[in-house]
Amino acid sequence: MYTTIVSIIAILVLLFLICMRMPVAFALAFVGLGGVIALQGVDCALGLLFSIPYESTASWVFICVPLFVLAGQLALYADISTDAYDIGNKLFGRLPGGLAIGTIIGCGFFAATSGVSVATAATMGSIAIPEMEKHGYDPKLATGSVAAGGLLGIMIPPSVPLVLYGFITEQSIGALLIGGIIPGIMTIVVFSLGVVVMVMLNPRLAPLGDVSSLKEKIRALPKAWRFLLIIGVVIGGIYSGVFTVTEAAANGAFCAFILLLLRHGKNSFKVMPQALALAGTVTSMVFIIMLGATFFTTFLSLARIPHNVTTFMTSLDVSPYTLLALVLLIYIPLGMFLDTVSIMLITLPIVFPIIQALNFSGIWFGILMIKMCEIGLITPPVGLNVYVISGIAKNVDLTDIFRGASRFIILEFITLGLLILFPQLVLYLPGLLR
Amino acid sequence: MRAIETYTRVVRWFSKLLLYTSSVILLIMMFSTVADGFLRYLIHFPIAGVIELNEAFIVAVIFLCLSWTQIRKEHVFVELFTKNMPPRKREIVTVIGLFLGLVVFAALTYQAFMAAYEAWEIGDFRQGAVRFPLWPGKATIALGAATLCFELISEILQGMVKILSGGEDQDSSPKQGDGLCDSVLNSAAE
Repeated sequence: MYTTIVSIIAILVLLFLICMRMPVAFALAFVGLGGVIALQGVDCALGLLFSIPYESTASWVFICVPLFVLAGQLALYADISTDAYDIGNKLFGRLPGGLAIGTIIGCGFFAATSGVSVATAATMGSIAIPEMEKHGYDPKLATGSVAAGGLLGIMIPPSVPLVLYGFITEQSIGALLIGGIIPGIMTIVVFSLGVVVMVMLNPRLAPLGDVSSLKEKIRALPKAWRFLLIIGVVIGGIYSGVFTVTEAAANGAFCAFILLLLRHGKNSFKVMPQALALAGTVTSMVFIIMLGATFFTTFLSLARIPHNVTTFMTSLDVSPYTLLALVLLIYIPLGMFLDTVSIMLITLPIVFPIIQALNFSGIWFGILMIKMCEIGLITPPVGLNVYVISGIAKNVDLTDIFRGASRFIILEFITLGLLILFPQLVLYLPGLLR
Repeated sequence: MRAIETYTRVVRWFSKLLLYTSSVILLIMMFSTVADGFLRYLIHFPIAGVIELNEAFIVAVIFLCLSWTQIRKEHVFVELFTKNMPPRKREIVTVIGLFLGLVVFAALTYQAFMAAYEAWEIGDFRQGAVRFPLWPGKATIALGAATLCFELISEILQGMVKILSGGEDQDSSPKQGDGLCDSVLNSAAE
């Protein structure tokens, strides 16, 4: 009884502190340690503080996190995002809503060099939105397509959230990253078809784009070598088994570094400190949440909450798929006000045992969860991608961007439905891994 | 007032120094991992100690950037429920949150210091190809967490001054609490 009361109070206090502007990582650590003190005494909490900060972070796998962020950032400074946008456009600009489709595909290419969603949205947004405005695109479509395209950043490998997911749930990180490829491509296809349908229903959304001749199209293609190189090293390296995930990240960052040098020569060294600082702060931000979540999870396990919730959920007389749907639905309200990493780290200790008890594949669930987090990134009131875009497209009203993005939420649910109905879409490629 | 400003300046200068240190460490991480992989494939002779070294390095990157991340307000926090509060009230809840954070990180600093000291005294090392001592990695935790504590103290003091002076809020525009936005936007704008 005492344990139950402590657990309920702890969870309420956690939610309260998070809502009261306390950094999520600090709140998790504070409540986690407080809970441990209540259940096991001060010595136990001090023991955790003694050992956990080092043990939970000193891991060879984690080196890939700053390196994936660094790779994306260096690729950005090497103007690879501009290439990605150009190629997307030359190839698909003629379709109805072609610039928006080109942007989404460009996001997909760029996502393959970067592991975070917001970065993809910000990068592509600053290139694509002015272009679409110039061509008379509806601002809702223009901003919505970038906010949604940015989501590909965490699905298409590399993906920082998937690395963390793999570590916490003890799933193969390589398999998870490879598992994101088909769902990522599917998302691009569904988004693009969605744009075509939207524009066919309402042609005023997007005037027809410039025609690029076959020659122009072919001439644009060699530009692709730079991002294809990074994709080849990172995804190809992991897939073929030549690289571990960490080695792939280091080599990806190294390639991006060389490309930056080739592009900007000496000037590269001016932007290096910024790229390194961003990689450092993102890493710090992510792992401090992880550290806080470790304290919180320790408390949850001491209170046997994951065990009790799993026992309760699996004792319900409903089909596994209903339970899966229930679990996935939790992510919608959470996604409305929390970021991807926090959501994952807070929920996984409770949710993942349920998924395992239901005998669902951990890899498959990881991808579904990323999809739910993606949806959270473009839903009001706090859709981070939408806020990023509103920082770039200052003349477009925030509500309009949300409206533009909301059409893509429907498309996201279509992709999610397909992934639930056909788990092979996720599991096929990882199954081929050596 | 002057004293708080000077104190803040010193803390921020030191945080930046730690950030630069972590940047150098990141570069070494990247080059050493690449070189290690190449040598392993080319001449089947990996560089001894790269894995052990980088495991200590990732800890250093995480904790050395800790206080800079706080300065740039890049530790994720939720703005939604407090953005319509009167500035003075918002400042009060912020200060309380920072204070609770300070309690945790002060305890963490002390324990991390003890852990580093113990590792140094008993000569604890990581089992692996090379005997790599554990204390430097653990010491960076104490250093980074201590700097974060000093930064939190500075923010708490500034908040208190604002509250006591009647809650005049210079920064009334609510800022989105996601860490990535600002720096990404800045870099995208260039």
